[in-house]
Amino acid sequence: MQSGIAIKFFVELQKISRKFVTFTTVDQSNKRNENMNNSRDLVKRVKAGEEAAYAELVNLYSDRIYNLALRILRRNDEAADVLQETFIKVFEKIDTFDGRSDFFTWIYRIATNLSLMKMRKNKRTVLTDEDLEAQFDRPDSAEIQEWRSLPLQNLLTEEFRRHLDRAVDSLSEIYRSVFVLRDLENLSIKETSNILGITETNVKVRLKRARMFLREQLADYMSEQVKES
Amino acid sequence: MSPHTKKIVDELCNYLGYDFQSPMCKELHEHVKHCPECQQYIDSVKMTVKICQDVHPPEPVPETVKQELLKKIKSPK
Repeated sequence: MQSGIAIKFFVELQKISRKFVTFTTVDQSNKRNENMNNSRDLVKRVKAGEEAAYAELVNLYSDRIYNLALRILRRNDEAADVLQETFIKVFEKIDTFDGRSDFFTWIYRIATNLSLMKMRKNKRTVLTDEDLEAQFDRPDSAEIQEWRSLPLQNLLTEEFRRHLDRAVDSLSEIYRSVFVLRDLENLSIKETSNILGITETNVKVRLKRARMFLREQLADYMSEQVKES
Repeated sequence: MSPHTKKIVDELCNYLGYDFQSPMCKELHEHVKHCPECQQYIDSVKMTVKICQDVHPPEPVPETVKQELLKKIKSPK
């Protein structure tokens, strides 16, 4: 099979099914279950006005919220703002949290929305759906190389980081949010769908497109690396 | 087909919304089994995700940011 046909094979499969391709990520459910149990207790204590519980809740979630915002916004100062705004909102609205959804989902939804609002304000240039589609049709992007043979440390250079950051930055919010939650935060399809308030099918479609777009963005760079190695 | 490739194809079929025994899924199994290019393509998408995870590993919240936050939310009620 020609390399170009290999890509088109998968693109066509996606077009036919209007679904998506996804892969297994690390299962962090045990850790999350533990945090959920702790959260339930902490939320009760916060609602009861117990001061120590506020700090405990911050300690339990601050790293994850900060990194979630950092991955969406890519700026430490903005991630710090989102962290602060998230917890202020959480404590203002804690009485409205009825426990029907997980606290984890609730706080993640608040942090994601605040991050996306900031992203919108920044008005960074992002690609449209048409731009994404066009990437798959580039004739030169069809070259498939044996990426697995590349040592990962060769890619952890400043130049490569900049290249990758530019690619992720050009994803619009609907793709970036799904990619960050599912692939970088390792949340499940269901959790991602609950946080973003979209269907699981939509999560899958957006995730597939984001992954394939990023893959295409890295293809030229990787091809060069393979040739040099 | 190696167990690794079989797992990938099963996942592909699953997430494409097809039953594993469906003609589309069987066709996909059959194709990927004999197509190193498709296997490499699947690998390259997986590796893209892995690279994105590794290039920016999680960072701890800077202590000053955390302290400022704790100060702000102290006794908010």
